[in-house]
Amino acid sequence: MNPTTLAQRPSAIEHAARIGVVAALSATTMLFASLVSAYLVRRSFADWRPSSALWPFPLLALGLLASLGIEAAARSSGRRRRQGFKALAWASASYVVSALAVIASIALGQGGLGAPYQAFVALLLGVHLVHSLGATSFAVWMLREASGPPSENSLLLARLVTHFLTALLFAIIFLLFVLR
Amino acid sequence: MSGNASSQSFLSRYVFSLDHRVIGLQYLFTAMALALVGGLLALIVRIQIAWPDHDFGLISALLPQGFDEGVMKPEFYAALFTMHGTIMIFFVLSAALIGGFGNYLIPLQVGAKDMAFPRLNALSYWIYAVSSVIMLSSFVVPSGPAASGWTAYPPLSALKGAIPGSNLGQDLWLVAMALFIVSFTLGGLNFLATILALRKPELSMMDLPLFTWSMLFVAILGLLAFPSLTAASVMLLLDRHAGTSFFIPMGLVLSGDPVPGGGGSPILWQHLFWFLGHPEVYILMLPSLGITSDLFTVFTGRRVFGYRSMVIAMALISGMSFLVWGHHMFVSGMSPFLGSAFAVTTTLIAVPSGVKVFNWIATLWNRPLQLTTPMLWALGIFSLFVTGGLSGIWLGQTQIDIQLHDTAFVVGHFHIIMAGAALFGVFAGLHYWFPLFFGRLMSERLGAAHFLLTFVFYYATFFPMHLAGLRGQVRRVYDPYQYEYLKPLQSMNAFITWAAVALALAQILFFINFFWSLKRGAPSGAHPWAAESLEWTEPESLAEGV
Repeated sequence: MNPTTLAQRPSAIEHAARIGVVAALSATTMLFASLVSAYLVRRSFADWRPSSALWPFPLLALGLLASLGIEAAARSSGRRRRQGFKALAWASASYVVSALAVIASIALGQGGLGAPYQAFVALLLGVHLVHSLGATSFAVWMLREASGPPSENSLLLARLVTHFLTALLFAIIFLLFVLR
Repeated sequence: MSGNASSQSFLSRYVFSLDHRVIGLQYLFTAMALALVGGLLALIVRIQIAWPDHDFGLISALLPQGFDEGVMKPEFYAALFTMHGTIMIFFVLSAALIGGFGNYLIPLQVGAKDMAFPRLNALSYWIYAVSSVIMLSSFVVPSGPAASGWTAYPPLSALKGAIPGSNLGQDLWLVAMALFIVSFTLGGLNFLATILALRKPELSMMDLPLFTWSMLFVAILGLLAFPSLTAASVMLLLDRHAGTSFFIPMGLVLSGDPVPGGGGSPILWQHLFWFLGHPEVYILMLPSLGITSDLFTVFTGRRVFGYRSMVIAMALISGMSFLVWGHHMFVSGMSPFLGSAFAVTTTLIAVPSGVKVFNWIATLWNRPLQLTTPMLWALGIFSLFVTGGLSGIWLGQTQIDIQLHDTAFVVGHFHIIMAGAALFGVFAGLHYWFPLFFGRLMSERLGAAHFLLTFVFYYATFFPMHLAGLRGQVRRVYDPYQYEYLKPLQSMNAFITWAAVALALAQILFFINFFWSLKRGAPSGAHPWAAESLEWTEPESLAEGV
């Protein structure tokens, strides 16, 4: 079976792609639900010592930038739309690098990952950045694969994934700084 | 297979193919090879339980790190049952039923030309293949394979120096499982997309075979349940290598030295593991139940009774499987109130399960049954489902489970309900769809003999385990007879082991039948079973010399 055969049914394939992305996001939601459950259990233990830091704000800003980039792309067309995708990819890549820096600073800082709160900060951010890395790679791959500007369906999926990851980041930071 | 298959090289046609049928067969053959490994491990475990001082001779020469002058070391025994459980549950039964039959049949049964994402499908298989190799490679590392059970409970799995199997073998186990989950997730979203989006427009969901329905629910279960094991595995890897203490409790002492850090909760792992672990039971069983329903339809000549209620029952079983994980943890110090809640949800699963059983009875009632080999296996599944389901109601009650937890009763129960029903499903499916896969029929005579021997020796192996468990036979113990009260059970254990050996020997008939029929089986023709589902009635679905 050659994949081009399926291209003869674009609407079905687009539908399939949407289902695939929603299914992947459902699995991601369950992954974070599991991690959050573990966090909520662990924070009730005696050795829980939360700390505060300013790092969430730059990360949140980059997440928001990615979401704004994709919305800008959705509201334009042609070359500008393609540029919007590029902006999204850059914002996501910057986020990944920044999150890595935060995790490294926690791991190398006082108490390291031995302190349970810090371990959860690194864990939640780390898993989120792995997903962001995946989404960024997907966006770059879409840009390389598409001969012209991204299709409406690609755009829809990219918006869904980007906003999902930004919302997830907000939820993680809410958890780490409000429910600590 | 596509029409230009003959112009493809062997590698692109059979190894790196994007064709769902080839990928399905790749899963089946890989699972079959791994079943030999998993089965052999089970036999060694059984021999050890029956005769703990047995000299293992050749096996000890092949795996010297596990034996001391031919006699098995306790830690190696733990590694054997760990690898047996892991390989059989994930790498054999899940892979064969879901990767094998699912990939081959879903597109055909929904009238699609292939899976929605063929490249993703091929990637899924290859990730599974790599994860299998990683899992098996732990047998050749100096410290041996993981030895903390298929459940990988910490702190045994979290502390690298606890026992030899807690070293590199446990890391390989975690990495292999993580890859397996990635493979399963990719497969699951492909199944969902194919069934929901690529279904023929004229085919409604209520026209689908129940096997395809079972695959839909299995895909949903996998997508929603496996992430909790992914989360737990990442946390366990961090505990092992990054100095975290998610699961390592305070105050542990290892070889006389206090374990640094700590403060975590091993029970947390149990919650995360069993949130996957129980749905995994249904991930294995639902395909078999779907196959059974479809075979009853074909071999009674009557559509399965209460088709719609069968679908609803599968949906309820799937949904409720997320609400019962606590029944695996009744002895973990759980609040009695919470335990009661889990006992109630566990018991409630008997309702949709009962719907299925009574619908099957109504389907079979007063009909001339065609006792073909696939039908025999389907009847076998029916029997195992009822037997194992009944002992499941016992174990779902806190008062009884506390007595029977970690005994041979539990081993007997889950081998009948989960492993048995799934294994019989694999055989039922292989016999039924063999003509579709290869254009030939398997021998009915050999098939019937294989079924009868397997059915008899399966019960002979696993039913007495219930009795042993009731008499206090604990599981996962290297030498049960070090305890005075278990010494009288040696003869029963020897009987179980002989039955297991006979069960293993009976499988030789299957392999003879399978490989002989591949070359010499009678040509099947287009409709060997007069079935009406699309995989048989659509002409392009016929095997083209795969």
